Amino acid sequence: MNHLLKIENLNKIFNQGKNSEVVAVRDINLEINNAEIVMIMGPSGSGKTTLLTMIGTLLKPSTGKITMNGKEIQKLSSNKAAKFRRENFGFIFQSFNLLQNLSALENVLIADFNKQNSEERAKELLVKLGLEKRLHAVPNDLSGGERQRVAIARALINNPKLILADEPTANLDSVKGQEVMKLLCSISCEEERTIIIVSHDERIKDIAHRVIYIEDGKLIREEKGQHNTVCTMKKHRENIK
Amino acid sequence: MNKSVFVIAFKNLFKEKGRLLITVGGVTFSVILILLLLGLYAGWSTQVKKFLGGIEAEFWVGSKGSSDLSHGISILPRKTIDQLESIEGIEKVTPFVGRQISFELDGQEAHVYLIGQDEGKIIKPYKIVKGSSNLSKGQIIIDEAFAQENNLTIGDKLIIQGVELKITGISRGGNLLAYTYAISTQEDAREALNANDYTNYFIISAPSAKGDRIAQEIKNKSPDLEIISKESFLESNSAIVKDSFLPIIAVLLIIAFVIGISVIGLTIYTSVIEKNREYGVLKALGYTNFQLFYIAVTQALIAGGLGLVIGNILAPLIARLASEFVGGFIYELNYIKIFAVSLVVIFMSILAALIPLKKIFSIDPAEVFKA
Repeated sequence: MNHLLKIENLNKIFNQGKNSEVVAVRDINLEINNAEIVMIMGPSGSGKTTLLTMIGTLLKPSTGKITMNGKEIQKLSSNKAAKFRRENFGFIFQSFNLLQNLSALENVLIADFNKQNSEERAKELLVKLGLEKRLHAVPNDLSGGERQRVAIARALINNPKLILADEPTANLDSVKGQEVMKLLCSISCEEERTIIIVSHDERIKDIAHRVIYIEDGKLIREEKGQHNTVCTMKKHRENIK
Repeated sequence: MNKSVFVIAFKNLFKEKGRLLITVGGVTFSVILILLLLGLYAGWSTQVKKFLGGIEAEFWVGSKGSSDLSHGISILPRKTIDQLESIEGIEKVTPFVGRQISFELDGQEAHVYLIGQDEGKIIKPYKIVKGSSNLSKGQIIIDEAFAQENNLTIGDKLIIQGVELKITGISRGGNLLAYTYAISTQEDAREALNANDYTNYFIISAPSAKGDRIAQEIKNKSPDLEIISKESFLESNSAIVKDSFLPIIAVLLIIAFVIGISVIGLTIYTSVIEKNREYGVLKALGYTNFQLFYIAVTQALIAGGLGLVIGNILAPLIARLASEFVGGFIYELNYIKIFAVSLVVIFMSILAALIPLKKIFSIDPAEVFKA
């Protein structure tokens, strides 16, 4: 099994040494494999988003190590981290975070730094996600589900090795939420991408290979997910077994 | 550079039409102000040389220490002409009588620089716009700015120090801000200026090739005389504009420049604050601080460019309109100065984009994970 990501003794303490000190993440050790869908679950304030942010090089850990494809990423400078993010990560946010003045197509294109056939690829992704008639619509004219699908297309445009999704269904109703999760599942299956999803929505955990529970910043338990029973692609199932 | 950076900048600017209008309006105002000030300065600099530049002379001879018509008065005995005419090589010596004089006009104090025309008409108005350039006793040619300011026209009469002069011509190119030139016959000018015994300057006509020798000879024969070449006499006279107005224009230019920077800078800054989260998203996606700064610079340059274009269209129109009402509004601008203003606007835009720089750098991309 190939590890894509390895997290060792990861800690994050905010306001260290002050009265307001908060330990958000404590001694997390985790290995995530290629093409795996991992769901990080826990109550609000448990430290799951902090963990995701550190994996995404947007926040530096207080101590510990994050290695991706053999490269230590927690020490990268701001510019190197930015370069690393655009080459390796796709982000999906709870509140979609689309640029309000740009169309769906332009919102996808802003995350494409390779610029090779980018417009065709962006259109292809949006069509694949069922947005062929909404290419030029601005976010305000899109429904919540459509916005999240644009965000998913944006997360995929740069062919990332790892997709980091923070509460991707939180702002969607249950039907739209299930649709989005199915999409993420099929993306992982078809394109063999690794996805880490942070959520506290128990209804969506079926798509994961593993579900990790965090409480008070600590990894408290890990359980096997139902991905292999829901995934229709045999090859994908075999890879992760 | 990522094409998206330009698209984001462009859309951010053009989707907020009210803000765009304010920004472009502010830059346009600033550009118009800069262009008008430069145009006025250039106009005045040229204007001040027009009348004197039209007088054909190799030298101007004045009393020791004199250098121009405005600073100090040159007074020379009339008989100095004999001394000068005796110098070999000099073709002609023309007495120049003239100085600033006040008189009452419609119950108000008015000023002109009254000059007496010589018989050979070396001294002549720069350009006649109305009436005739020929002068007889009891006639005067005034500048159009003076005519406009005092609502005077051909046939009107002025009484200058008891000498009644009828306006027979209105000329252009004799407005020097502080006063305007007026030309009468030398006889009338001497009477009005009470200059029967003296002459202010002597205009020397001579072949250029002999200029140095003649100047040296005048110096040798009359060490009390100041010999001023035509070029340096023109420069000294135009110094009145530089000395009096350049510092004022410089201050106004700085104000216009600061207005331009402030308007663009504040708009871009407000845009960054408003789009704080979107900038955070871009950072999270992998945009560097430099790329985000480039968005701000692009926005500033687009706004600056639009302001520049509109300003360049409006400034000459405003100048033309203003000159209809204000006689002294002389606007002249060449392509070099317009190009220089364009560079200033580019510089202004880049400088304005620096205002939100700190804010851009301090945006924390991790914040975008907050709902």
